[in-house]
Amino acid sequence: MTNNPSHSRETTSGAVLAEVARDLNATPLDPARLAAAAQVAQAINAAVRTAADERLNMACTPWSLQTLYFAARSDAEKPLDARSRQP
Amino acid sequence: MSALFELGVVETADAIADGSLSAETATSAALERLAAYGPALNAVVSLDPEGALARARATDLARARGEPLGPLAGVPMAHKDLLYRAGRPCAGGSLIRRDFVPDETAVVLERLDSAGAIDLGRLQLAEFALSPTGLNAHYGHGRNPWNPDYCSGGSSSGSGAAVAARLVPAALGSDTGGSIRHPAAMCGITGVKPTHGLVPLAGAMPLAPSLDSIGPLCRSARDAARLLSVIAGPSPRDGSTVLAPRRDYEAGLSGDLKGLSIAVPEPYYREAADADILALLDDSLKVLAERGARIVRTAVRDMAAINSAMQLMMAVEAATLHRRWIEERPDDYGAQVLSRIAPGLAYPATRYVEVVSLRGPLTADWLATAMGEADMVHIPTLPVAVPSIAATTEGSAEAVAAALGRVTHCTRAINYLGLPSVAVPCGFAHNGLPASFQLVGRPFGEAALLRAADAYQRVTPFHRAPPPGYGAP
Repeated sequence: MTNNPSHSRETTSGAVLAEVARDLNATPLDPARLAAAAQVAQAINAAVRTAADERLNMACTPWSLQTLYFAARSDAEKPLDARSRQP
Repeated sequence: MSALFELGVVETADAIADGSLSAETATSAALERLAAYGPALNAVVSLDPEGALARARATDLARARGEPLGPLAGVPMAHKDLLYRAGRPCAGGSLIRRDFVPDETAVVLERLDSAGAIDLGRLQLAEFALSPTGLNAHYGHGRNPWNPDYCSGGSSSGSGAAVAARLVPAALGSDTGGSIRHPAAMCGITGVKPTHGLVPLAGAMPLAPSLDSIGPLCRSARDAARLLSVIAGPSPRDGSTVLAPRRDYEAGLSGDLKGLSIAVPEPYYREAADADILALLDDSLKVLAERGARIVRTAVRDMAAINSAMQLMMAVEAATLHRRWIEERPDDYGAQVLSRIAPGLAYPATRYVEVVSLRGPLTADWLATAMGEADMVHIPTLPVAVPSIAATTEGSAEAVAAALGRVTHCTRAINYLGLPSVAVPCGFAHNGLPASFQLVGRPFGEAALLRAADAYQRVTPFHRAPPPGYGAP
């Protein structure tokens, strides 16, 4: 859990909101499609926000898959039988 | 020898190397089949017969002189039309880039050239690589060689159809949410989506660079292993490949799965599968077990978060690349493509950074739970029978969205996790179209996946079955 949930909330300024609105207004979707897109975006936004609140904290966040790749790289170099995990 | 068009990559290369087949003959035969069958499948954008035949003759001459030949010398191929070749148009399935002529060549094409492969031309794809079924509003839907009223799969629609219909023995595709695995599954061939960062992306039209992977579509895992050995490995033109190993994937194909364990995660993947698909998946597990693999059951969680993160990452990265065209040339997009990209303009930057930050922990968790101590995971590629084109283009928006959701149910998350996957044909669903399972591995675990897929294919006939009308008479 995050120590301070507020740190994962976005801050918005009038300028940022105006920019987002400008981009969206430039999107040539009809109102029904725009509404559908907004609904999808809203649901995804909420799901990611929840996951971030539950999992991310400032102390130990691996920022990329490369963290896993370092371990995997040496593993991938070994002969397959040496990596097998037979009981 | 089998009919020429039945030969796979390795068989063709071997026959050319031992002199029993000339590269010119192989190239001419492929060009003839592409011209004869490509249009009905909507698989071909354009061909370069003169250039291809000149290269083939040069290969034959080199062999006659006793010069060393590359591992793909003389093997004719054609590729998804999003891989750049300097001076040749590359439309990416779009109207907007119809006349785009790149001034660079994709790293993967350079590597195939160096290995001796013959590039015959450009294969069709979904607009901007953005349809799991093969929909292209401008150039027509990809057609499945098993039944042209059914989806070819996308976005590498031409690659899947051309390889399945024996027009070429292999083609490259790209996969951002399943775009290699969908056509492989729907057309009944083998497709490899490599670990993100194993195969250089430089010189390929991007869709969402954090999720994009380039990989081979072939009829067999052995053929795919040969291609992957050529195209994988670090390149100074793509920094994301800095940790990529270079290895001979074909050398690890022993046919024996002793010592390998395969996890079957519940419930997310299998609960979505139709009964006939589930039965075929279970049959494939039996075969893998008979070959020596140990099958273990695991559980998977957090799929809603993973799928949401993938969707956000793809939409934001695609919207970033397309924003100016969306504003300036909106009428040049198909409606379905536009509706998938547009939400990317609506997410806060902080949410995108969260998605990037969550990628490591969610991948580590997925590996720990879905795979556990096993070497790979076995899941459906497509949990339902291949849908008809009508089922994914007609009807209410909700019905179409639901149909598309079923197609990507088991594929899209794998790109967010960055993991490798091999799609393997495993029989035929109730509608007579191919079914397929995926083996998903650890980062850079392609060798184990190909070893398992090859062992399975040594004792099953599905990858060798030609679609009606495309096999030897």
